[in-house]
Amino acid sequence: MGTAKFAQLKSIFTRALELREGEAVSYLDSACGDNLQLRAQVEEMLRQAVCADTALLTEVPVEITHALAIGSVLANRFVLKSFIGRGGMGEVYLAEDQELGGQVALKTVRGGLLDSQGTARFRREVQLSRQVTHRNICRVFDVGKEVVDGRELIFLTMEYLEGETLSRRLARTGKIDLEEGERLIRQMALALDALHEKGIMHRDLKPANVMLEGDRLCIMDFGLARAFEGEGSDAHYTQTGAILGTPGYMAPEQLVGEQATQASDIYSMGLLIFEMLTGKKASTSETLAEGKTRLPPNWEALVLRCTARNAANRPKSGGEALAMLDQRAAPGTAPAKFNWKWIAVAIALAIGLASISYWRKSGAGTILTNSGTSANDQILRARQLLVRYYKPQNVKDALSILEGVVRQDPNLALGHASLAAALLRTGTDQANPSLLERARQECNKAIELDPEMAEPHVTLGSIYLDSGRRDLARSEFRKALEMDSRLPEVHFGLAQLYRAEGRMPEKEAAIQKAIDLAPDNWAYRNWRSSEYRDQGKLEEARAEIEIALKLMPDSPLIYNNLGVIYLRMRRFEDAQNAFQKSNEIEPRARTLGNLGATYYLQAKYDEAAATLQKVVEMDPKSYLMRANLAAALDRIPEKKTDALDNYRKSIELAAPLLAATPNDHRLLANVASYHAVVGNRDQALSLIRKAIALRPDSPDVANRAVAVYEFLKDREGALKWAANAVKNGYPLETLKSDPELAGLRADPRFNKIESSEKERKDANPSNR
Amino acid sequence: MPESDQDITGLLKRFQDGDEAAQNALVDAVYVELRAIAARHMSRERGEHTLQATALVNEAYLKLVNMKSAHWHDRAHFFAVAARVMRQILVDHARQRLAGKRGGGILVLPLNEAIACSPAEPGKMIAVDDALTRLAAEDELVGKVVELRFFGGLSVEETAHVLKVPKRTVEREWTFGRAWLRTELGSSLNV
Repeated sequence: MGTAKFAQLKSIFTRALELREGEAVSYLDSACGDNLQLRAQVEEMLRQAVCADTALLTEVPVEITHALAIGSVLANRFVLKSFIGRGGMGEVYLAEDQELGGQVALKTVRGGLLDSQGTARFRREVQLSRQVTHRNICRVFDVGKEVVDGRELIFLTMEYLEGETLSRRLARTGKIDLEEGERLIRQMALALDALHEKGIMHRDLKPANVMLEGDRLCIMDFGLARAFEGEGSDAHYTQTGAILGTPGYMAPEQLVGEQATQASDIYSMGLLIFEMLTGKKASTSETLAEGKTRLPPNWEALVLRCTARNAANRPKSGGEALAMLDQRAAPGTAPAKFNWKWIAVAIALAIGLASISYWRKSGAGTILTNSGTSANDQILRARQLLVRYYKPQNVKDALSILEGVVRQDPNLALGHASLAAALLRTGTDQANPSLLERARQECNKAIELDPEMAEPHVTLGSIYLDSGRRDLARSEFRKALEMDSRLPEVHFGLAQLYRAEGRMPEKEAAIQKAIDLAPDNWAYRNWRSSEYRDQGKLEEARAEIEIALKLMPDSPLIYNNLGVIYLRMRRFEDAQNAFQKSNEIEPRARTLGNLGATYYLQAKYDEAAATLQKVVEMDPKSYLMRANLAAALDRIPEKKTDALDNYRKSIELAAPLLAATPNDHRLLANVASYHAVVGNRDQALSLIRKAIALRPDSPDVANRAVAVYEFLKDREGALKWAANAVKNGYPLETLKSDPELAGLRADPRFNKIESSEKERKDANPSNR
Repeated sequence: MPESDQDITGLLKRFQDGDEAAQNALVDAVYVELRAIAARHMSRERGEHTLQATALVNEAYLKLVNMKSAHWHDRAHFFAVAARVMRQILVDHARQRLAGKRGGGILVLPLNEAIACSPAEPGKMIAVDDALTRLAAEDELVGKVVELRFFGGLSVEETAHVLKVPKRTVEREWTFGRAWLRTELGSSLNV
C-alpha cells in the first residue's frame, strides 16, 4: 500500500495539472503550504509533464545490431557508408556505387524471408518496378546477391533520398497544413497512377513507405510486398510480418485475403490523406469519430470516397480523386449520404483486430457520436436496448426512440436500418405480417439512402426468411455478405437460412463463423444451444447455454432455455431451479408454464396445478397452458371435474386458431388429445388422423396420437403410435414419465418398444 | 509449450477468464518467441543500433497470434503479458551485462542463450526498473499503467481495457506516472 505522502503528491499533481497556470500557482501555495520539498517535487513533475511530447517516456530503446559492417563491399561494387534504418523487409544502408559513382540506398532482405521461389518473385517485381520512371516514385536500380557469413544475402539498390519518411514527419510535426498537404497529396495521387499504368500495385502504401525530400514526395517499396507472399499464404500477414507492420492501412478486401487492386491502393491513400491532414491515425475508430478532426468538405468527401468499403465506389484513379478536389466549388456535390461514422465503422472492421459490430458494444458510442447529432446517440441507445430484446419494454422504448429519430431526420440511413431491426423484434412468437411489411419498407429506405450499408440487407433477408421466401432471403444475405463479410449478423442469417433448407453442415459452419466474429453475442450461443437441443445433443446444448448465460447473466430467457435442456435431460431439480431463477428475474407466462410442467413430471401435481393456474391468469388466451393446467388437475383425484372443464375451455380457445391455421399439425394433434380426454371420440379421431396425414413422421404428432388412442381406450392404437413416436425420435424417457400413459406402460407389450429401442441405440450409438 | 496459433488464442481466452495456468503457459510462449526473434536479429552482430522494445513485442504478436481470429481484446491481453515478459528480459539482461563487465567481460550465459534485445544502457534500464518497482509499491495502478504502456506499447484504450478502468483514468495515471519517473530518474536519463 502506498504512503500518505505519495497519495498527497499524486492528488496535488493531478489537480494542479487541470488548472490554468495562474490558478495552479495559488493552488500550490495553499496545497503545499510550508512543505517546500513537496512543492519542489510537484513543480518539477509538472515541468516534466508539460515539456515537449516527443521526448517523453514512450518507448524502451533496445540494442539491436545491424547485420553488415560499415565499410564492407557488396557484390564488389557497393561500399556501405552508414546504416540508415530498419524496414519491413530488412535493413537499409547508404552505399556508394563504385562502378557508376554516386550514392544509392541499399536494402537487404532479412534472412529467411524469401525461399527460392520468393527470390524469383522478388526479382520479377523489381524488374517491373524498374520500368517506372516518375518524379514521385523512388527509382529502383537492381537486385544483388552476396554471401555473408556463409549465407546468401539478397539486396536491392535504389535511389537514395535525403529526407525523412512521412511517418517520421508526422511524428515530428503532427498534422501537415492544408496547403503543403495538398501539394504532397497531389504528388502521391500522380505517383500511384504512374505505377498503375504499368500494372503495378503498391499493396503496402503507408507513411513509412512515403519519403519526403523537401517539397518532393516519393513513394517507395511498391509491389515488393507481393514477393513475400507464399502461394496461398495469408498475404497480409506475411507482408506485414515485419517489425513495424500493421494491417492498419490496408483495404478491407486485402485484409480478407483477396487480390489487391488499384482500388486497394486508393483506399490506403485515403487513409494517408486523413492522417496527413489531421495528424491522427485513421486506424483507430475513434479518431475519425471525433468532431475535432473535421476536414474541409471537399477533403472529407475525398477521404470518404477513397475509403469506401466497396472497392467499386472508390475513385478509379489518383487522377479521378484529384478531380474531386478540383470541383470544390461546385454546388450540389456535397456527398450528403456519406457520414463519418461509416468510415469509422469501415476502418474498425478493416483493422481486422476487432470484430466490432458498431452497435453492439458500448465502445460503439465513440463511433457514432462523431457527427455530433443527438440522433446518433439516440440510435445507439435504442440499439443497446435491443441487445436485451427479450424485455418487451426494451423493444417498445427502442421503437419509440427510433421512430422519433426517423421523423426528425428522415435522411439518416442508420435510423431506418435500426428501426427495421427493432420492428423485427416486436411482437411475440407469431410473425406479424404488417410489422414485417413495415420493417421491409424501412430496410428499403435505408438501402436507398446508403447503398453500401450491409445491415438492412441482413434484416431484409430475415424478413423474407420469416415469410418463407428463401430465394429472396438468400439473395439479400448474399448481397450483405459481399458488402461486408465480417458482419456477424450476415452469418447468423445464413445459419437460419441453411437450417430452413436442411443444409446442416453449412448451417453449422455459418453459426460458427458468426460466433467467431462476435464471440460475446449471447443470442448466437442461445441459438446454437437450441439447435443442439433439438438434435438431442443435450450436453452440447447445456455447455453452449452456459456460455450464453455468462455473457448475459441476467436474462430470464437464457435461464428458461437452460431449464428446458435440464427438463430434456430429466434433471428435474436443476430444471426447476433454472425456471425459478428465470421467474425471479422476470415472471413470464411461458417460464412459469415450464415450471408447472416440471412439477408435473415430478408428480408434484398440487404445485403444478397452482403454478399453471397462475399462468392461465397471466395468459388467459393460451389454449396450451389451459390444457396443461387441465392435465395437472386431472392427476388430483378431487379435481377431476375442474380438469374436464379446463380441457373444454382449452378446446374453445383453440377453435379460432384451428380455423386460422387448419394445417398446423401440432395444434391439430394437441386438440385431438383434449377431445379424447373429454370423450369426444369422433372429433378426436378426425383431428388426429388429419395431423398424421399432414406429418406422418413427426414425433410430436405420434406422441399425441399415443395419448388419443390411450384415452379412447384403444390400446393397440396407442402401442402402435408409441412405437412410431420412438422410432421418429421422440424421447422414450418422456413417454415413460407421462402420467397420462401409466396404463400403457403397465402393458407388457410396451416393454417390447423399449427393448427394441434399446437395441437400436446400442447398434448405432452415435445416432443420437 | 503451445506451438500453434490456435493454442495461443485459446490461452489468451483462458487467461482472460482468469486461468492462471494459461497465464504461465502464455508467459513461457512469449518468452521463447521474444528470445527467438531477438536471436535472429542478433545472429550477425556488428556495430550498434537500437530498436524499440515494443517493436519486438509486436513482432512476437504477429508471429504467435493468428490475427484473423484474434479479437481486439486478445491483442490487448497479449501485449499485457508480453509487457511483463519484456520487462523481465530487459532487466535480467541488463544485470547480466553489468555483471559481465565487472567480471572482466565474461558473459554469464553462452551467446545463443543471451537475449539479444538487451537494453541499450543497462544501468539506465535497471534504474527504470527499480523506480518502477517503487512506484508500483506506492500505487499499484500507476505502476501497471506505466508497465503496459512503456514495455508493452499498449495504447491508452488497450491499457484501459486490460485494467478495466476508464480511458480517462489511464491518461491521468500515465501522465502522473511518467512525470514521477522522470523526476525520480532525473531528466538526464531522457526516459
